[in-house]
Amino acid sequence: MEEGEAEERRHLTAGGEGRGHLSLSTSWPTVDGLLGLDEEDAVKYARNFFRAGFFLLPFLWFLNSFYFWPVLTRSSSFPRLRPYVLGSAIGFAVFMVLLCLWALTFAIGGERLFGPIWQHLVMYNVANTFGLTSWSQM
Amino acid sequence: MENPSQRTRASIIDGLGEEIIRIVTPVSICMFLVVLLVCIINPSSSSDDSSSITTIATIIYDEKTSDSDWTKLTGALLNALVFVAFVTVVTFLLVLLFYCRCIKFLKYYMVFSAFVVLFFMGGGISLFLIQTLSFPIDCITFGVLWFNFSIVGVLSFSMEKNPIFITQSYLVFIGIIVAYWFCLLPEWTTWVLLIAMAVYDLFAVLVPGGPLRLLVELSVSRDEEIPALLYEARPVEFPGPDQVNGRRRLWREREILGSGSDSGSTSNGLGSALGNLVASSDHGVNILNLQSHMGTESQRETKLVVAEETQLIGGSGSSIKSTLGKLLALENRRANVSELNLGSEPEMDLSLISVEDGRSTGDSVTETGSPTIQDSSSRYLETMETHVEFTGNSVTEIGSEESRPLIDRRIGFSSNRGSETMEIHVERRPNLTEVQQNEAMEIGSSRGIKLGLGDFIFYSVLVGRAAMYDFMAMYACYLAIIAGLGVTLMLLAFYQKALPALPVSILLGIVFYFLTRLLLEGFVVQCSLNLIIF
Repeated sequence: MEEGEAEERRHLTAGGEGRGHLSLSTSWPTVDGLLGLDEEDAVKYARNFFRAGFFLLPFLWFLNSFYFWPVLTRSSSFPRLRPYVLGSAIGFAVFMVLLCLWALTFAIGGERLFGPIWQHLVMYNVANTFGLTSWSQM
Repeated sequence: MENPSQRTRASIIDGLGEEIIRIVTPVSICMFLVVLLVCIINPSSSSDDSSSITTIATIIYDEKTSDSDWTKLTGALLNALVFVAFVTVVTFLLVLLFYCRCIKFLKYYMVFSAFVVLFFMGGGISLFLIQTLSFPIDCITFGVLWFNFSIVGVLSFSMEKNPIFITQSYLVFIGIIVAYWFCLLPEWTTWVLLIAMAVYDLFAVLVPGGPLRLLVELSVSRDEEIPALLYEARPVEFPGPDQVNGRRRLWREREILGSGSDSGSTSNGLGSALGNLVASSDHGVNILNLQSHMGTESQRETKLVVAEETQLIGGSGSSIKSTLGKLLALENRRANVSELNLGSEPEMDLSLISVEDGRSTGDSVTETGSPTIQDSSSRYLETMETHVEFTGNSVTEIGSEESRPLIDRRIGFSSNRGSETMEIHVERRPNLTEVQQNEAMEIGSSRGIKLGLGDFIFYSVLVGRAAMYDFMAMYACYLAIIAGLGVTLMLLAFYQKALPALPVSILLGIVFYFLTRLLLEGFVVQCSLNLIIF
């Protein structure tokens, strides 16, 4: 009974990939709509992924925010899920900003900025040094 | 009862095109990316005779460009025979393991293979790309991205509930990676291997003693699902005219009862198996065994015995929908999944999957009369429409690859309530933990078409190999494969049983490749040189 049916339908069809129309007042927290998780499982899922993302796995945070996209767009519902999903989204955004800054600095700055260490850090040299591609003899 | 069938007929046609598109799109994406990889990294030009990789497929004979044609042909035949023999042995091993109910082992193996493919082979490809393009990425960033990619991929196969899009994407990635590595094989070996695999697929699925058919029958008779890598397309909704509220479908919802282990995992198998196309769909009414608890205590249990009609259907959605034509509708009650989940009954090996609700509340369905509806407030049953699935398997070359057929079963249940016919289709998902062979992505009771990962891989290998020669051949092969896939889907709709997906497409593709290479190319080149057309 959180929202009206029509509003839910709109949200569902607009927000994600779920295609069913709910005949009840419950709404689905996942982007898969009918095919996704229901709320209780969703809370567990969101919590686990939020915590696991701290192990240098920002992609899990991305997965969280992608999967629970309706939770982010509909700010009024899912009070239990919202902190985890919001935290995941913010964490992913922050991490990506930092990573992009570093990668761009590395790529654009190049040797001018870093000096000879650049040659040691760049990936194709690292691969050659460790022989990472020689196992395939290519 | 004309109305339901009329409605069904209209809705079948509406959705059929979309279902086909949903399976053709990932196949096309996979092929396109493999061609892109092959063109960028260009293994054929960089590898010389002495640096061909040693794999199971090249164990006997390593092709060298200096050999005569006859030597190459016989060598390729020997290689292909060895490979097919290996695949057969592995498939039988899988049947044995499945027969002995070592499902957990199979699932762990599947997850492990997924990890190996994504981490080592995928990393290898990324490194090649970086080296070829001289992309100035540093090792820290690359390490983080690589690590994330592999871990999330592994998770998406080992957990039950994941975003559908992510699971599908990772399956396509695995297909791309394995297909690229297959393209590194020497040329004659590749073509003979493709033909051999198509023939093997045909025999393994259709011949009564074939391993894949045994596997299908085993899983059907036990009502378990084989853990394997299987690409399942998202089911298509068919809003009927009488449905006020539309349908709801719970995808992949299942409760494994009694197993105690990780519930109803989707058990995505890893690995590539032989490209077998197995389509199964539920054909009729069966007895559904369903057990559910209400709330936290088991106050009432409903047991519906569902007998499964062991029919493997290899048909497209149309035929399935036609059988489904009856009304699926239940009360519009929300099925509380958590309630349905109960794992405490040891004898229930079933997992209740989703049922699709096809009716609005306007019906005069009485809840009390129906044995299926239990809980008053939170049980929601949906009837499912038909679904067509293709399952296939492919074999990868990494040490322990095996082929695995995919089987998908659906259980249908129908009960007559007064004038109303209700069909509940429930798919049982066994507690599969591991797939020894590769694929089987178990997606719950949905109506999506399933295609085995092996099919993806071998289609992409064919197109990639054609692209290594010339782009004209590549276009011709792509069209041939898509046409073959369409033909297979039609056959599936017609025969309603598990079908191999490889033979038609591969044979058409090979015929087109050689015709293009021998006939079309000369024609086009001469026309261009003489400035006639093109």
